[in-house]
Amino acid sequence: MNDIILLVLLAILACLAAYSIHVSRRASETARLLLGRLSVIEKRVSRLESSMLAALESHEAVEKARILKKKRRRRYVATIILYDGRLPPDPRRLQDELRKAIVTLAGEVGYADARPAIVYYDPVRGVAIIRTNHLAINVVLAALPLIKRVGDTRVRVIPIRTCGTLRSAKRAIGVIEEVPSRAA
Amino acid sequence: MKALHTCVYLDNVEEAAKAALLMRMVGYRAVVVEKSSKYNEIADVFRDAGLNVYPRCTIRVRRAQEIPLRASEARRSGCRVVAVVPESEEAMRYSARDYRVDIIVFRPGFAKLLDSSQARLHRMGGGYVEIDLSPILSSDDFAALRSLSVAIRRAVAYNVPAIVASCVKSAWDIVAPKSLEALVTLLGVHPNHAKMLVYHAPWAMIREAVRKR
Repeated sequence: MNDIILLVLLAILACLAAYSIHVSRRASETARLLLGRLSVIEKRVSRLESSMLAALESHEAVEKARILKKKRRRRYVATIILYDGRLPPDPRRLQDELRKAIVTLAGEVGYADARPAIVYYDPVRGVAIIRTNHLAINVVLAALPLIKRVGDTRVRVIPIRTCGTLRSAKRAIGVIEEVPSRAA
Repeated sequence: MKALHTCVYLDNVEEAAKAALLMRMVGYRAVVVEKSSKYNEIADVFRDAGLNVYPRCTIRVRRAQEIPLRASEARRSGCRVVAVVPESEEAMRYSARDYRVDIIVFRPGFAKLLDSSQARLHRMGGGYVEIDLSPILSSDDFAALRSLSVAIRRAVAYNVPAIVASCVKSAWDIVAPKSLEALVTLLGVHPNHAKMLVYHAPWAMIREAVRKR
C-alpha cells in the first residue's frame, strides 16, 4: 500500500516537474518570439523616424526656398554725420568706409547681402540716408559705429531712425516738413 | 524707445555738453555718470539737456570681504549706483549676492561664471552684470569679440540679469542704442532679448537701485 502511494506521489512529482519544464520552455520561446517582434517594431519605428526627419528637412528646405523668393523690402536709415574739421567728408569716401566697416563685421557675403548705398547726403546739415534691405538692417546699424575716420577727418555716423520709405526718412532728419496730424 | 546709459566717464564740462546733446538726439533719456571732482557741473549740463542723471561709483575689489565695507562707503558718499569691478571669481560671486552692489562689471575671462548659480545669486542681491562693448566699438579690438559674445549668449541662456552698454569717455564714443541692439542681435541673440538687454535692463537696474535706498 505504502509503495503504491509512494509511486503515485513520485509520478505526480515527475508530472509536475515535466509540466514546469514545458511551461518554462514555452515561456522562453514566447519571450524570444516577442523580442524578435519588438526588434522588428523598433526597426520600423527608427525607419519612420528617419523618414519623418527627412520630410521635416525637406519641408525646411522648401520653406527656406520660399523665403528666398520673397522680395527684400527696402529700409532707409536716417543718420547724422558728425565730423571734426572744416570740410564735411566726401560721400564716396564715406561709402568706402561703410563698406570696410560692414566687411569687418560681417564679411564680403554680409556686404553683398546688405548692399548699402548712401541715397541722400546733405553736407551742410550733416545728414545722410543709407538704403539697405530689411534682412540686413542689423548689419548696417551695427557697422555704423565702426566708421571712425574718413581720410584724416574724424567722423561719427549716428543712426536716428529706420524708415520704410525715403520720404519718411527725409522727414526724420528734417529735410521735409512734418505733416500736421488732423485733430479728430 | 527711451534708453538709459549706464556708464559715462566724463570729467570735462565741454565734452559733457556735446555728449548730452548727442545722447538726447539718439534716444537716451537718463545717464549714470561716474562721480568725479566735476560731477555737479557735469550733472547740471546733462539736466539742462533734458536727461536725468544718477551718480555712480566704481570700486575694484579682489577679496570678497572688502565688498560690504567699500560698497557701504560708496553709498554713504552719495552714489546712487554702486558698480564693482571684480578681480577674482570669489569677488564676482560675492558681489552678485550682495544687495549693496547694483552693477558687476564683466571682465573677459569670467564668462564661465555666467551660469544658473550666478543667476540665483543675482536674484538674491538684485544686481546686474554690465557687459561693455566699447572695446569692439571704440578701439576696434576684435580680440575681445569672442569673449563678449560668449558672455552675452550665456547671460541670455541662463537668465543672468545683464546690461549691454558702450562706456563713454568722450562725446566721440557715444553709440546709438539702435546700433547696440543691432550688434547684440548679430552676436546670436534673439531681437527681443537684445531689446531687453539694451533698453529694459538698465531701467530695471536703476529702479532697483533707487528702491534699495
